[in-house]
Amino acid sequence: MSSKNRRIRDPLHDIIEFKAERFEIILWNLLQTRPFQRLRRIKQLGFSDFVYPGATHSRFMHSLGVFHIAKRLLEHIQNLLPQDSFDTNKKACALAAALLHDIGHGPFSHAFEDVAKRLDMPRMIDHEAMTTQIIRGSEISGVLDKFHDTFSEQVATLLETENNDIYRAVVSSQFDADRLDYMQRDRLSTGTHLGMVDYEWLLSNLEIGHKPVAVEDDELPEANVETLVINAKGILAAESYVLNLFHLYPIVYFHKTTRGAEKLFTELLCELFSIMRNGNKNDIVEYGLSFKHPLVRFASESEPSSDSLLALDDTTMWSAFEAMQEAKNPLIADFSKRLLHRRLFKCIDIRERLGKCFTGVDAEGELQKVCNTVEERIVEWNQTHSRNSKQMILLDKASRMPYKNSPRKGMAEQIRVKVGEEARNIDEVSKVVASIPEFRLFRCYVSERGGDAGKYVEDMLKNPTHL
Amino acid sequence: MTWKDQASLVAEIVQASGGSLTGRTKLQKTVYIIQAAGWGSAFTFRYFHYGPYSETLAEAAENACLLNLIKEEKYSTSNGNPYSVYETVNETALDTERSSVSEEPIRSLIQTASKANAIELELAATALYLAKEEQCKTPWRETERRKPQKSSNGLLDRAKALYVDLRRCAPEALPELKEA
Repeated sequence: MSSKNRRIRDPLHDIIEFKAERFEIILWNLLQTRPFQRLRRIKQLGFSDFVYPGATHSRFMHSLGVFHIAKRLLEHIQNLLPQDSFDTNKKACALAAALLHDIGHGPFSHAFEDVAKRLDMPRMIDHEAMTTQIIRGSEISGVLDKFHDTFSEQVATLLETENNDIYRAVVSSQFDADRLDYMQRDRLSTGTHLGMVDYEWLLSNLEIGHKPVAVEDDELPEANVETLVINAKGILAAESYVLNLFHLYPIVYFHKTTRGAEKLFTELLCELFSIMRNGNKNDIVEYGLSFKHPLVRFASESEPSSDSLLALDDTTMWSAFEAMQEAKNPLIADFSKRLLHRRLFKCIDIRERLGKCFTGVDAEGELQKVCNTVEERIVEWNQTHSRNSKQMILLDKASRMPYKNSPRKGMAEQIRVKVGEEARNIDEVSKVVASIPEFRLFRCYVSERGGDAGKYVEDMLKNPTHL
Repeated sequence: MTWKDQASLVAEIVQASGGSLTGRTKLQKTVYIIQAAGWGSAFTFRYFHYGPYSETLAEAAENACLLNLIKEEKYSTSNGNPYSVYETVNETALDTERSSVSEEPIRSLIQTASKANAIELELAATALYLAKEEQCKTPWRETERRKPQKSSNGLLDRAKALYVDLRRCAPEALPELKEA
C-alpha cells in the first residue's frame, strides 16, 4: 500500500487530497469501483450543454468536490465541539456518504426520475433510494466494510434515515457539501456570473446551535439536536447564498431549452418502455435496439435491479439514440433524431404569455387559475389525440421557493442565524429573503413543424379570459 | 377529477376537522389515512422524505386557497419552526350534506387525526404506509429506524396508541399493525 497522499487536480478546489491513512485509503479505493467509475459517464447537468457548451462536467468530479467540502465542514465542526462530544465514527460515515451520495443517479439524472414516476417504478423515482441499494448490494459494501464490519450499513442508514444531527447536516441540509459544491461548479462550467457563494466567509462564520425535534407546531424540547447556525457576521453571506442559489434555477436548471430536451427524453423512454412491457418486445425493428443493449435489458424488467441501472449511463443513452433513429416506431425514431441533432420542439411559455393579461392586486391568483385550466385542457387533448409528434403537447411545470422553509422539507432545510443568543430562521431576519416571491414556470412544447397541437395552444392563449 | 373538484375536497376535509386544521403535514397524513381507509383515490401518495406525501394534494390545498374556499395562515413557533393553519372561509360554497367526508367512518377518522400530535400522526401514517404500500412486516420497527429522533421519548408508543384510536373508527378498513 502506498504511503503517499493521493492528490487530484480540480478546476474548482485546485487540489483534492486523500491522505495516506487507513480510512482515506479506503475512500480512495471506492473511487476504483465500477459504480463510482460510472459517474465519469454521467453529466452533472444532463442536457444543459445544449445551452451552455461548457456544462459537461461529470458527477464523478462533483462527488470528489462534495467529499472535499464535507471534509472541511467536518473539520470545522470538530474544532467547534468539545473533544469528548465529537464522534469520529459518525464523521467517517458522513464523509463516505458525501463521496457516495450520487451513485444511484440514472442517465440524465432528473429526467430519468421523471420516467420512473410516469411508469410507476418506485425504487427508481428516488436516486437516494438507489444509492443505498447500490451501497448495500455492490462491491462498494466490501470496500467500506474494510473500515469495520458494519460500516457500509451505517453509511446507507445515514443516507436513508431522517436523522437531524450535525453529521447528517453535512450531507443533507441547506448548507450541505452537495449544494456548496454544485453551486460553485455549475457556475464555473456554465460560465454564468450569477450563483456566487462567499464560501470561505460562510464556513468561517458557521457555529453550533441547538434546536428541538419538531413537526410544525408540535415540538419535542427534550430531544434537542445540534445544528449549524450562521453568526451575525455571516448573515449577509447567507442572504446572498439563498439569492444566488435561487437565481441558478431560472437561468440554468429550469432553462427552457434544457427542459425541452428533457421532455423529449422522457417521452421517448416512456414510449420505449411501454412497447417493451405491453407490445411485442421481440420486434426489435420496432424500437431499433438489439436485445443486448443495456437499455433493453433495463426496460424489460418490471422493477429493474440496481445492476441494470449501473449498466446505464449517458453514453449508453447516446448510443441508443443513434440506433433508434432507424426504429419503425415513428415517435422513437423522430425523438431520437431530435435529441442527437438538437432539433427540439418549440417552447410556448404559457405562464409568461398569460401573465401579461393580468394586472391588479390578485393578478398572480387569477393567472394561476387560468394556468390550471389550460393544464387541464392540454391533458385532455393529449388523452384524445394520438402519440405522434405533430399532435403531442409536452407539458412542463415546476416551481422553486427562494428559501424552502416549508414544514414539508423539515428542519434540515432551515438556515438558522444567530440573533443575540437566539437562533432564528433567515427569513425572519432578512427582509430580502422574506420578500422574494416563488418562481413558477408553466410551459409547453410542440412540434416546430406546425400541426394542430401548436394551434390549439395558441388559440387558448388568444382568449384567456374565456377559459 | 378537475382541479376545482380536488380543491373542494381539501376544503371539505378542513371543514370536517372542525373548520380549522393545523399544519400541512397533518393535512397530508390525515388524507393518506382516510384514503387508506377507503375514501376514494383522488390523491397519489409516495414516500417522500418524511412519510406519505402527495404533490397533487399540496397543489389542491394551494388551489383551495386560490378559490377562497379556505385560507392558510402562516406562523412560527418560539423556536422558529414554521407551520400553517388552514381555516374554512366560505362554508356556503361547500355542500355539507353531500360532502364526501361527512359519512362514517371517514368523519371520525378526520377528527381523530386532526386533533392528534403532529409527530405522533406522522409516525402512525408512516407505519401504515410501510405496511400497506411497501408490505413491510415490521412497520413500527422500520418507522423507528427511519425516524430515530421523532420516535424517541415515548413518542413511538404514543403513535401506536394513536393508531389504535384511528382503527377504532374504521376497524374493517385499516389493517392491524402487528409485529412479531
